[in-house]
Amino acid sequence: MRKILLSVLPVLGLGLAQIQVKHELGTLSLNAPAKRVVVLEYSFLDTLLALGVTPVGAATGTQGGDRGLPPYLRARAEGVTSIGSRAQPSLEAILSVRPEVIIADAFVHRDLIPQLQRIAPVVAFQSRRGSFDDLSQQVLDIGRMVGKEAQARQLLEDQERLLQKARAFANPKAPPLMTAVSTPNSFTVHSNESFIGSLLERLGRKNLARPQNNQTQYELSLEGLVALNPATLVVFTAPDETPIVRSWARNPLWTRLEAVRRGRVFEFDRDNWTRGRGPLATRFILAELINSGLLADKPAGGSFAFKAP
Amino acid sequence: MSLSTKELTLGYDERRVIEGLNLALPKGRITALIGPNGCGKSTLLRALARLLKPREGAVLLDGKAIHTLPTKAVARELALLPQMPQAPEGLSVEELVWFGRYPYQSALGNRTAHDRALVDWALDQTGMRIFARRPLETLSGGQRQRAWIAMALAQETPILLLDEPTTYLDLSHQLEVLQLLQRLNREQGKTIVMVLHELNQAARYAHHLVAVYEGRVVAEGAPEAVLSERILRQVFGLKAHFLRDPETGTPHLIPFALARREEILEETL
Amino acid sequence: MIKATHRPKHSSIPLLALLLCGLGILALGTGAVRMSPAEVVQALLGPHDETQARILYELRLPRILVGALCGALFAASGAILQGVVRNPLASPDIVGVAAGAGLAAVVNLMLLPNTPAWLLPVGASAGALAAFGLVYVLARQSGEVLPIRLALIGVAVEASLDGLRRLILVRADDSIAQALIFLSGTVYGADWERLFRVLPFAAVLIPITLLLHRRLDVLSFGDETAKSLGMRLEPARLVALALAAGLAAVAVMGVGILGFVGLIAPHAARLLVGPRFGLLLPASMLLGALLVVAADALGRGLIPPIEIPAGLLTTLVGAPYFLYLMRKTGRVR
Repeated sequence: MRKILLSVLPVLGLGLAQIQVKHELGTLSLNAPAKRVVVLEYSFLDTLLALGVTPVGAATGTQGGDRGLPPYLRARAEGVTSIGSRAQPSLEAILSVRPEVIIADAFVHRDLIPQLQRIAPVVAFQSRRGSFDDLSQQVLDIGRMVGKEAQARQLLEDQERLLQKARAFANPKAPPLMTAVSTPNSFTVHSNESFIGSLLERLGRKNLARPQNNQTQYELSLEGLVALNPATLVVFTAPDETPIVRSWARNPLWTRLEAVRRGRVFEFDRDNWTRGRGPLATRFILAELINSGLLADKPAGGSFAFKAP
Repeated sequence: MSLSTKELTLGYDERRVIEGLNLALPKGRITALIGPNGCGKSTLLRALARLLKPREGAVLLDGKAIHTLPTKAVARELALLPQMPQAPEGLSVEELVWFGRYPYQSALGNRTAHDRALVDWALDQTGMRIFARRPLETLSGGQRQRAWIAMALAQETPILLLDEPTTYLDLSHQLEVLQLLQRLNREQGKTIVMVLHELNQAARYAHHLVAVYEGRVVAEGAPEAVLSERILRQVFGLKAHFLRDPETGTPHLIPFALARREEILEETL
Repeated sequence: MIKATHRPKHSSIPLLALLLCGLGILALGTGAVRMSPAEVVQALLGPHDETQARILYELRLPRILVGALCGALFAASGAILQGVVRNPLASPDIVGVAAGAGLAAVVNLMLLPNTPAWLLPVGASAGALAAFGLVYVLARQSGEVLPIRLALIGVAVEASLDGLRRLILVRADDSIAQALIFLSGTVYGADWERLFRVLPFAAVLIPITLLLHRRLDVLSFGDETAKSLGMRLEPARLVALALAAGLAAVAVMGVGILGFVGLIAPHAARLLVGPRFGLLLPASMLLGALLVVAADALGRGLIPPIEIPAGLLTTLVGAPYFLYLMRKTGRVR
């Protein structure tokens, strides 16, 4: 009798599961909202915090070149248990917080999924390589997982309203722009399908860069940049680094760039703009976007103008 | 066990070092290969020890070409002490001597009572018993040479080949080694073949000398017969006084001048 | 006469084994969740807290076992190579293992981007063996492989293959760099599955190596002595080298390329038990295991929950040791 019950239970459970979330690895079924969640990307942390849920653990550690929490998230994420870095989260730290669900990045944690699955059910989303739409969908999915679907919808509605507002600033006749993250030794273009690229397109600013070989982000040299010759260039840098693009600005080629001649080279904090990718980050980004004049295609001014060497 | 060569030609790469050599090494005796540097005597010894493959001809061990015999079988018939033998650092004398038993051991390497007895005997023969536990590198040159000879003895071979066993030793250690070899020959009947530099030592300790010059054997036989004025001039380019060793009666020479090139040429023509 | 006192060399082996067990228990207690040795034993044997037991059984135990096994494999490989090449500075890298593994992994990912994560190390170790084949063929000259020639060719091949790998990586997708993290040498994420993938190979190679210990001894003499003891030098050398490459390749499958373990462990073992492989191999393997387990435990325990890769720590210890060795051997010659 017990045997039969046991074999029937999972089937019943599946039928009774109130929450079903589709993700990159399949479908997660939960009977009740998850209370103990571990997140392995900043966007998931951002999303949960925006929903008013504190995860039992988050990958906020600095290791392997990880720069830790983006500044805009720091105050809000205080008190969240660190379970290591995004690249190498500590499996035992995750196990010790006894999560009901682990939210992982489908790309970054691909090789780690089997180990994670042994600890708790894993949900994998495209965060690192996701577009703005992907990440918005994830807000809904995560909201449903933690029983905050209504709040998630509200968040997205608010966000949509904010987007409409920002759109009003955008100059529809502005030429396409280019967005890139620059570190001391790289210049990585974020194409129209990246998070930031797709967000800007949504706001009415076309992006010059398309994905290459299925990559939404890829490296470019100064020559490559000159060849593409964007009329507006947006670079994301960190205040504690000397990005490579700063040394490019000394090159005569730099002055030939249309964006430089038009005075439309913008500079924003790369941690806040490209690493958060959640509702909180979006709110922050939209505010800076409007203030900078980028949407209206005005010359870059004030603290958002590219700091030439 | 007899060791001989038949039409033996040796060489490295393009260079021929020994040509068509026929040589028989007398059994149960001490033979010394002598000759100036680069004459081919060490090459010959290496071929006798099977370290060098002949270009043509063969080294014969009891009439059989040595290169066609199983390696371990050969290792039970002849042992070689190279000029500068290398052992792994930290090896003790006793451990070294045990390796002499390698050609007799099966894949699993079980040690028999006979192995043990031979190792002990080799240590005793060479007077190395008291150093048995000492790492090789802590020994003096002469002691180390005796340790290697002990290993060759443990190999239980009728034939012992040595490449310049006294080089790098001081005089007393040279005598120590040569006297040991002499005793092994007398008491154990070992056939000993060695390359020697010192002609007086060769004359005194060897029964049979083989003088090698430019890849050929120019003379062989008893020391009295080989160490003639002519050979000395032709092979070594030396003029010497000939004396007799007061103790053994063997030739003893005192070189006093270099032979002039013309004189040597005259002689050979 | 100097009377040297001699501690029986055998006693080191059980001592090291005991040390390894002790370290294992300490390592079991180290990490993001700390446990005292008593708690560890309690969790293993008696009634226990479920989370603690899961951390021990599912995460730490397989990780420690994989680390110990692969450390032992690297060390055995290094011991063989140091003997065959007759150089205390030899390590698995000189037969091209590291660069071969790296290049093979990169090529594998470029051609078959969807290679499952567990298959990648298998491909890498195949690459390690292939690189060894290349080194061996190039080092062979008129039927002979002279140790010094092998070492030089090995370094050259290692450098070229590594250059090629970097060249390919420059143009590669960043997902490839992501997948190559395992190559940097880390026990991170090692689980029972990984242990069972490495174990069968180790179970074949280690006994063979131990069985051949006397041949390895004879090989580590000079060529002339080895030949005159009746050893067929070339086939024996090939077997020994292939064995060393195989051991290292299997270790790469488990933990990637853990720097310097194959160099330090056998060298220290030689100081402890002398040069004979009968003792040298077990001592090296135990030391190699100790080294990796210690490095991994430190990596987990220093600044939890951040994990420092074991390879980084072994390199931190290894590089100065290597320099010390260079100076020491330099003085002798």
